[in-house]
Amino acid sequence: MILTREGSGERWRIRPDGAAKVDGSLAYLTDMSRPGTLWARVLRSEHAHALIRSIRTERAEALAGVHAVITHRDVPGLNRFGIAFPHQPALCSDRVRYVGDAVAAVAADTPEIAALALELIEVEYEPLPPLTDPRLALLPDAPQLHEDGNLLHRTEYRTGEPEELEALFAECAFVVEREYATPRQMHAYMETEGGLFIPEADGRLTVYSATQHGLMDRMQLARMLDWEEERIRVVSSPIGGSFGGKDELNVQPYGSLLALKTGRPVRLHNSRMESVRAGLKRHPMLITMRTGTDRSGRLLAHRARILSDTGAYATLGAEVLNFSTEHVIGPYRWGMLDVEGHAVYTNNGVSGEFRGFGGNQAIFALESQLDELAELHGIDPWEFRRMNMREPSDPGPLGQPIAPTDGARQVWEALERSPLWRSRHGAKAGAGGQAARSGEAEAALPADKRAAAASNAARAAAQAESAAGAEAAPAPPPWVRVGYGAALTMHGAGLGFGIPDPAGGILRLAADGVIEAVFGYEEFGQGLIATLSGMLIEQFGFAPDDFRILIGDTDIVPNSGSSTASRATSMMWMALRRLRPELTRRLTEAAAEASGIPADRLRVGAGGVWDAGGGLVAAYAELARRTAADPIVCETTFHYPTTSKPHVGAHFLYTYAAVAARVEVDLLSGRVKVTDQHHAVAAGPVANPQGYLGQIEGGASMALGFTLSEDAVMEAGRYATRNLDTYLVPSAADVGRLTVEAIEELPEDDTYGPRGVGEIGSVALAPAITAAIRDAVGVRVRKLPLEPGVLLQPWSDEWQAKGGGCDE
Amino acid sequence: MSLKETAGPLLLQPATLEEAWRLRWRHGFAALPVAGGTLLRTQWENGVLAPPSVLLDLRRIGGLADIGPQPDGSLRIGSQATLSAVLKAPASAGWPLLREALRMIAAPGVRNLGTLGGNIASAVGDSLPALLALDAELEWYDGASLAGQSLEAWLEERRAGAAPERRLLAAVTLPAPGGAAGAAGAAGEAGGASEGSGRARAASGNGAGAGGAEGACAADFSGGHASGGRWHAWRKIGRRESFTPALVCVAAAGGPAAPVGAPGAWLRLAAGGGSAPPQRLRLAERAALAALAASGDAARAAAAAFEAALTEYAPAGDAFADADYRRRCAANLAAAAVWEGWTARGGERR
Repeated sequence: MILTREGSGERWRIRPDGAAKVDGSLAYLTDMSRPGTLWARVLRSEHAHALIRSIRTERAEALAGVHAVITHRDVPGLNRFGIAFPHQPALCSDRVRYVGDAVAAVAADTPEIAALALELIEVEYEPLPPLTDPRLALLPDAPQLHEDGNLLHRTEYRTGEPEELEALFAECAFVVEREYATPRQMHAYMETEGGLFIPEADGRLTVYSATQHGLMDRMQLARMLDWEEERIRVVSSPIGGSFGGKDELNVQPYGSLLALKTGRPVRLHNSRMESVRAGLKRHPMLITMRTGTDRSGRLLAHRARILSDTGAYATLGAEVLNFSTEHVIGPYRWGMLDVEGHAVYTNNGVSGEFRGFGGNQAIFALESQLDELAELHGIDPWEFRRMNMREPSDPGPLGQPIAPTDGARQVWEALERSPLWRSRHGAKAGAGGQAARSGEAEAALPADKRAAAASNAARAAAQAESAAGAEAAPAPPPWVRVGYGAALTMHGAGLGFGIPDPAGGILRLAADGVIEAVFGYEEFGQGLIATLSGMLIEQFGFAPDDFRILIGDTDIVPNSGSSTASRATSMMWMALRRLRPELTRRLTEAAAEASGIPADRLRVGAGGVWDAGGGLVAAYAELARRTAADPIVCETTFHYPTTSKPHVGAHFLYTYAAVAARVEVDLLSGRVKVTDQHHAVAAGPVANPQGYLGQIEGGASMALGFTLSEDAVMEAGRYATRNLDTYLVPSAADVGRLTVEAIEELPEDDTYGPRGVGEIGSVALAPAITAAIRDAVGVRVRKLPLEPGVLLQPWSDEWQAKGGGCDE
Repeated sequence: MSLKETAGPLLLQPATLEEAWRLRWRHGFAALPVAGGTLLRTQWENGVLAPPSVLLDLRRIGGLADIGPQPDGSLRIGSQATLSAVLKAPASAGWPLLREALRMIAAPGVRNLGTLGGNIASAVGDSLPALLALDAELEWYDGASLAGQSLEAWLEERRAGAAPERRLLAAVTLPAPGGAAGAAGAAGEAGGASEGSGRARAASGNGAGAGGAEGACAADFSGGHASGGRWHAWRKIGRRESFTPALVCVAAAGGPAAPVGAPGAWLRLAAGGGSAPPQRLRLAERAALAALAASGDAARAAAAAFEAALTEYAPAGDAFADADYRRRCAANLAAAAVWEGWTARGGERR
């Protein structure tokens, strides 16, 4: 099913929170204020690496309008944070390890006074040589950034002994060994980090600040303040974008400490430059792969080495490396595997959680290897993947049991018959180039598949017409080369084996007669509220006015776990499935009591409980009054499904995606324009068509930036890209045409429902683009983002002689 | 320490150029002229420039935002006209090259604030190569009178490291469209950088007069096979497709489109982008015209322009694109513009 607004019918629902976001009337947490609020600012390190000799705050404290200055001496509890491994100082005492490290913070009457006060804080540093090249981090003479050295985490997965692997490589018909490099991508959420922190009259603290897991923030702050968790209330939605970047604590320690020290509400909001300086980025990785095949093109041996630059502190660097280690293996069958990863500390910012979670880097390297091997064999790259693809009942990449689905084959076939991917044949044939290869691919396509392709929905065909449209569009100028590429991925959801991954939710009938759906998830633009609304309407028959959604407030929500790892949609669906029998039973029983009609002849619906004849028996408001003494409250708690193999981080649920891209390479400038993308995604039933499409479009746009323009450039541990005028995310003009095909079919006995699609759209586009570049101009790009200088060719008279728009 | 130090700059809003000059003089030239402030704002943010103590807001000066055709067919644009206003002004329709360049500067919000004068005065704005190819003349106020200076001459001063400009930019004037004046011509009378008065010479050009719809440009091409047909090209290469300053931009204006090698062929080429002021590519113009005259072959002219531009263009590199890339790219774009122009293939492509 091609996802479109028209094709979705009434399931295409206007987002409840959409209008206020578009017209600007929605109040984000960083828009909030209270009378008497103070402004806070954070003093960050002047150096990428230095010892702190002294910190003097007297002059700042003496400045009129300054209410408090805090340093490490003001942290009553654990002066460290980190979701998985708390070792990042909230306020540094003896050493700074990156330019975002906080040394002090100020609360003052105005932001200007706070800024001035920062200048009056005297910090004496002893600069140390910064470690900026992750390749040097594990050498014996490297500066040691932490007591336990520069290695945060090491991973390993082998299916044989090293000698056996070498012997297997020796048998290979072809072996490709390459290094791949990926950028330090920035989340670039529109709302930078900030919030409002209120010391309440009853001795509690209210934190209005974005996070992807309010209860985790509450725990970390309680640990830092040396308080009971229940004294802290974290209100965390709505959020102006996160993409993983706000899951970890950022400004919350400073707002909380200053609010408690001054006894006044404290507000702070990072400037974009401070956000760049202090915030998380995607882990830059160097991935070396050696991959070999037998004579027939079967994958035999695969050795991968991953070096991940985790920056100054851990946050989720170990977990991201675990994910990469699992995903460099991909949806393929291998003879033997040997994967090893290292996440190392450097003085380059802090790397952390980011949409795709280490899969993006891994799949770029893996899919590039497959493309190169296919070419060596003279096999169509897509057919090459089919030949080596996993079977539905195969174990997961790490040999672990996983929920069986046929996702890999489904997305492969969907892409194979997609107009965009098929149009490469026409383009090639029309251009008179590589006809032999094109013919091979046609031959590989069985007749029934061709028929299926021919009977594609009219909409898909119409959409693809423009995509296919080398024929329709005017011929590009002679210095533009067109190419097509595709890539495949499987992407794990949930946190993986060995990591607490709680889920749950509450449905209850409130006193005012409204059904309340209470979940611990966060809305950060992904459309969670719309998705949950759709589920309530479709699973229960409620009208939109019958319910309200309560999220993002630790005082009221159950522990549903984090809104991360493509898990929230699945968890909401599973929770509602568990809650539905009890809620409908209690509602119909209450209505039966009121009406005298047996409960088994009643059903829950819009506005209340209905009888079999279509008459409204009792409105929800009436049922609320009748059950006031014993309100209807249904709660469920469970754990995200995990694999049984004890390999930390190994996943159980996977989604699959295949992506095709058409590019135009301008030889004059070396610039690449991605004109068309087609994404086939197998993630179970579509819970919310608009949200699904939005997630794939948004993820793809991030992947486009990852491939073509985005890199938080660091020079000697300092950001050279300090704002969005030099750090360039794609604009609407860059994205081109994009279609999304959702494959909803799951095995009959599958009980896990819709899978989340928050990440998978961001994973496989990069290798599809670089494959298309190879197709267009013969150059393999292995370092992202692409440097146009690599593709630029000097002016040639021969271009004109060839005429416009063809290949080679 | 006084809190006043954290207050913003003093804002002065003169009503006339004379008053502006007096105010600027009184503040020892520390008063920074500002219009939309869009570029200055990014420079302050990035720490490239310290915010000044005095801002001299030129937007209230009467007549300084006027856009009007002149009796000689030229177009005079006041320095305070916003980029949007220039784009929308019916009078600018006869200069589609300028419109194409302006349409690709920043984003609509920035174009509504930023002025053409500001883009010029920055000495690195992306309108400049187009204005060079249009043989623009600047009108400066020095406290006593208005004086003309060719844009090319002023930019050459910038490239040579001249002291910061103290004069106030009043206007920019574009000669009547299609004029070969100030262009390298087939007769070899290529104008030097110091040749000044474009306006006086503009009327002698071989093109049509000012006016015509935006689509006139396409008509130039479709009618380019007739003698006297002029052409232009605008190419901007950034790090993404929109809302980004150029790494490289090349502007070209020439004629006639066909027959190739017709007598009276003329060409203006300019390149810019990045932190170095844009440059007229005089050597590339001459090489292309010579090759065209000798061979009658647009491809040879393009190749000659490419080789010469590769030598001639001297951009500055930064963390995102080195000078070598910019040079190679500019030479390619110049060649493509010449080839398309003289083969009547287009030039409208962006």
